[in-house]
Amino acid sequence: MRFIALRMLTADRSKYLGLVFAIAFCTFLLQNQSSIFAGILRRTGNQISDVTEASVWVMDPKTEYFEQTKALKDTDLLRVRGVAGVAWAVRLFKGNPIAKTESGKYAATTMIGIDDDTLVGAPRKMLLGRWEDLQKPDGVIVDRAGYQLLYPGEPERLGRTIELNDHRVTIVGISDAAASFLSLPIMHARYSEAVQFQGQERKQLSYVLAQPSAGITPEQLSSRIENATGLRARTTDQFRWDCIRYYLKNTGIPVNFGITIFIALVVGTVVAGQTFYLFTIDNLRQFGTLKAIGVADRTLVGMILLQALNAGAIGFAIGTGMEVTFVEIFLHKIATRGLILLWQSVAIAAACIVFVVLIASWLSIRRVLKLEAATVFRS
Amino acid sequence: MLSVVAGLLDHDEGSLHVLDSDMGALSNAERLRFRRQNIGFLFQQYNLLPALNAVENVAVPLIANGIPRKAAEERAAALLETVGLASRMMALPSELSGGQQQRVALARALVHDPKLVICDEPTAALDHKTGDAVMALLAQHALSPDRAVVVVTHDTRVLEFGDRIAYMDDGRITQIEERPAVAEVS
Repeated sequence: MRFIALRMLTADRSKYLGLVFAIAFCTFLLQNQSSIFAGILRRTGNQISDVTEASVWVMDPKTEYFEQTKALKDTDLLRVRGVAGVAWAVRLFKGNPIAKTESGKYAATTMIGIDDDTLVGAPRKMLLGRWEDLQKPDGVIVDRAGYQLLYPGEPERLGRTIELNDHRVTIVGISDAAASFLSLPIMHARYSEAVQFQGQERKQLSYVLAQPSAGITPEQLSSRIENATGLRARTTDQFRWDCIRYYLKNTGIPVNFGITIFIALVVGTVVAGQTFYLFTIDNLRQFGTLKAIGVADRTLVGMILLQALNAGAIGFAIGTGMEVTFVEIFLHKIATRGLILLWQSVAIAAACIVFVVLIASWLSIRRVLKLEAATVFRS
Repeated sequence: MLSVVAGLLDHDEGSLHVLDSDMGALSNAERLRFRRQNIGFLFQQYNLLPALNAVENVAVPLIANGIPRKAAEERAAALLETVGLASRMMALPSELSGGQQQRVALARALVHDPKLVICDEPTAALDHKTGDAVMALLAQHALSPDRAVVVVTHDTRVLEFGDRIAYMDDGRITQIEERPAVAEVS
């Protein structure tokens, strides 16, 4: 009876396409909003995961996320280095100086000051120049998005000068740093110079980056540092998730996206459910005929489920294809780089579509089961 | 009445025996199987599935009885040839005339060789010639051993094909007339 069910489903092309595209757009919206949501949240921890050499971040005990820094004392670096199991530890500065170009364009930036001697924390993905050139006096590396923000429409080239809080610096490299939450230009400089760009403060050490010795896990080292120094120590992954949790808890982002996802689900369910139900109503006489001929209720239920699952699967595939195309297009644009389609988004959207399909089927199944086969003798 | 005979509706009073089966004693599942295996239907409005072509429509009762689709369609095609629709097997119902649709419906009613064929106004939408052709085919089936055809109709042209005619008024039988069937006469 399967081929009969599928023929009945596809006989009216316009209704079939309406049903499939209702599910496709529902899928697209669910995956799209959750992808953008995931992309935005991932941005909150991108500057942490961009540091690949160190696996433990040490910070003031009150620090909750990357952007919120309370400076440590310079001696804290030495205290961390003194903890058993620390292979090495270096300092890291984070500030937000104002950058100003020759043309007068200016923008707030995220300045990362890395250890002068080791350059731990330097951007490893370079588009132009070498990260080792940070050793040059007054040299900074700016990320491509920041460069395009400061020099819109101009070709990328090294050697240009920027004013950072009355300090003249030279661009020695252009990096492919991951996008930050606020989309500020991301600049890297040596620690000793970066603190000058920010302006004088009594304490300027933002973070200490540490790496465990062989045989010690980052988690173990974090505990040891916390016990020994009273500072907060988090592994890279823990700190990244701290940032995500902070934004989830303290911003309206989840609510905004949640509302959109909920509306997509409701609209998808209503439109797909109504379209499928109307399709069943239109075919009631046919279902009645099949009942009269002797087709069992469970077979009719199977036919309806097959029809709904067919429309659901094809709609889901089209919707996922639309989302993959969307991600592929916008992933390579500067403003939206870092967009990510998580397998979890696809799985959750699939579960939602199954829900939509089951609701749509349930309404139709109820109607067909209640249908009296004797109606076939009524004209 | 047709619905009750076919087991589509329950009877309120008395007992009902169809093909020696006590319909009141059958469970829903048994009644469903009974209907699927023993009864063929011919409806006034044909009730063909519009998404299926002629041969697929005819094959439906066989498929419902578990016959594989290919074998079912082969038998359906053979029966369509018998009713004169060999050249229209792939046509959808919407591409067939009323008479052709009723012949497809007739083939569907007979394809699984049911012991009882139930017909609801089978000639109502047909012209005289096509109606006669349909009734002749039904009569031929009815004359096979161990077979019967029940026709409910307002069309007096049909009477000549029956061998037992019950006249009904307001749901009650007012007169029963026995006569030799048309094929026996000829």
